[in-house]
Amino acid sequence: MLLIFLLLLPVAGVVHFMSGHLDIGFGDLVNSLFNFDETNTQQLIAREVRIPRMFTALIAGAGLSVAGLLMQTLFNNPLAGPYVLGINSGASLFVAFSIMTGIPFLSSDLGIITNALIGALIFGLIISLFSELVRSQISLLLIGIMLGSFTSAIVSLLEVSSDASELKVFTLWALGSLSRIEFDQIPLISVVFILGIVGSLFLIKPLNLLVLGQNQARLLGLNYKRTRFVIIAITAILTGLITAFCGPIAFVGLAVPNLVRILLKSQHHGLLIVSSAFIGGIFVLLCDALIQSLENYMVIPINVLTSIIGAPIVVLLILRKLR
Amino acid sequence: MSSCQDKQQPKQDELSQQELISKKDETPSKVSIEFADNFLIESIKGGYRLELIDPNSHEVESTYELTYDQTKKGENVIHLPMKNLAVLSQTSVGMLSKLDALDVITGISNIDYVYSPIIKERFKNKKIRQFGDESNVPIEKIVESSTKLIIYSGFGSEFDGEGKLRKLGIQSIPNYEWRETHPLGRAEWIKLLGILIDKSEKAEKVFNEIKTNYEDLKWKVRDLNDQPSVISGNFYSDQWTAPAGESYMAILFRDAGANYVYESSKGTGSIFLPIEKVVADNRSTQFWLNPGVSNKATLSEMNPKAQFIGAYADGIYCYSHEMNQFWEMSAIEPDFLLADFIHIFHPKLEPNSTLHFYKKLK
Repeated sequence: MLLIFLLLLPVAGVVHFMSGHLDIGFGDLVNSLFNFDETNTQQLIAREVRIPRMFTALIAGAGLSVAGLLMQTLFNNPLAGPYVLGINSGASLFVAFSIMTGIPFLSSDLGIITNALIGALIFGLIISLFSELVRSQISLLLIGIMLGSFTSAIVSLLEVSSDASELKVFTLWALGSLSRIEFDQIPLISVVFILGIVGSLFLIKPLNLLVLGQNQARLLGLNYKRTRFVIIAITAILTGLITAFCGPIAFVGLAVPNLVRILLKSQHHGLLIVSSAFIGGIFVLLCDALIQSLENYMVIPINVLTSIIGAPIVVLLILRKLR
Repeated sequence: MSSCQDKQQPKQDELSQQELISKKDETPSKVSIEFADNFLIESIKGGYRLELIDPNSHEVESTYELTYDQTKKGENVIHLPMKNLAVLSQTSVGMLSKLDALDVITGISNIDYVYSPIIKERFKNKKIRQFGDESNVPIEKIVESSTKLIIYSGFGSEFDGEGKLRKLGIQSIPNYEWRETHPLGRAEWIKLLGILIDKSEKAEKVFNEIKTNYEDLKWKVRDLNDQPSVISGNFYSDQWTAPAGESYMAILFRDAGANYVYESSKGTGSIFLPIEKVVADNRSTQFWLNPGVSNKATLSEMNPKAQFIGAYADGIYCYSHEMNQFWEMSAIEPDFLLADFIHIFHPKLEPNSTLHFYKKLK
């Protein structure tokens, strides 16, 4: 199965690359990378529009899916995910602060990423603190939803008091976009992304233990508190990074890990992490390819399409669980 | 100035009362509508019949009788002259300002969006109230303010509270000026406001001046061979939103002697274009107007791909000289708007002129 995902990923990449508005050949792609001529429109589009967008779709899908998987295992809850548990909202709130305060450093790229990471980490820690206090999974999800509502209200207050241009920048960010990353930013983002993914691979053993439940894992020698912090830190890195650049993207982190579990029928996290990263990447690449092919007829924000496809998957999961 | 107008108010009312008796039996002179598509005025005995046209279906949306006969009753009867108006559309404030009639305004939507110093002063002196967005008007506050007519922009599908307000004797009509496709069509709505406040002659005079200025300017650039390329709009999320080829802005570009890149696109509203197409089409475009922001830093923050538009280096202009002034006055001053565009596209034509609404982005 993993081999199929490995083969599907480049296919999805090619489909994504070919789905743009202009005809761009393989030669333009190669030249845009190794022999870039800025005056050539095809090469410029390939380098500055298509490659960054493809890269963003890939890391957004892979990163959010892995983050979702980590949350689901940590909270032993298939409905957990960075979006549902309010971790995305934390990142959004801190990005809103950075954009709408008008302080130059905070509204720079680095300022926004730092704030998104801090916001995701703080809200991750808050939700894990609540997970200690409440035993019921439903209660925890409700707390996550409440955190989301709370942050939305604070963001609305910020919107009311911010000036028109700051509000415009934030509104566009909140719509979600895969076009914001520039070619030159790819190396830095790749480093942070790889850090998150490799970090999660170091957690395979503790994650496998957590499947047995918190108490059982502790009995088997797991340092639960430390593991929890590391899981939340990695989730915050992945979610914060993606949220900072793409805006809040819904449902990927919730739907993909569940889909992977159904497909693989395995609880081994080595397999689950790698597969979630692949399927997540493929899922967002194909969603965005669809958006690009429909661009001449209608405008679909990425957030909307992932929700349209992700929401029925979640409903199916709930129905399966109820049976 | 406002206090002076307020002192004169009783005298004006007295005069109007005397005139009312004769006006209710007369048929006023014909009002010709040349450019506006969204309203029609017909002179009838004692006043006018106003037909508002739905800008989407182009069918008559509603008919009102504007009458000097104060005894006439009916659901769509509006008594003239109107003295207490709440104007929830900024452009109506601009039109009333041109008619020197800001003293009829009892309410506005939001003082933060107002440019007129007179309105600001009257608001400060509590002669004008704030009613907020038209989607959620405070009915009791409106009743308390003695407002008799509300003019709203009609951005939404229906004006909230219209039915309740009518039962309370307060009429409301939309100002579809913003849906007009010709710049002079937008300005022509001043004629309706002129009738409502009994200043139709002045409205006619103001409009004719605007029309003459506009057409004179248009003639100046008519035969110029050099037609610089221009694009309008900005990236919103992953799309570029631009005015369609038959829109108000496209007409202004054409009249200002510029070559609008998407002039051949159909429609009078907006078109949405993929980023790739916009970058490919506009690598050498000379001017970029109306990005909706006042500096290049915000522009790049909104979308870094903006730097690939040819005009990015030195040809971006926005109505950021004073944003509220633009939104309030540009509909009634299309001649100033056209003069700005000609100044931008053909700077050598009038080297000593200055920009009125627009400013170069730095």
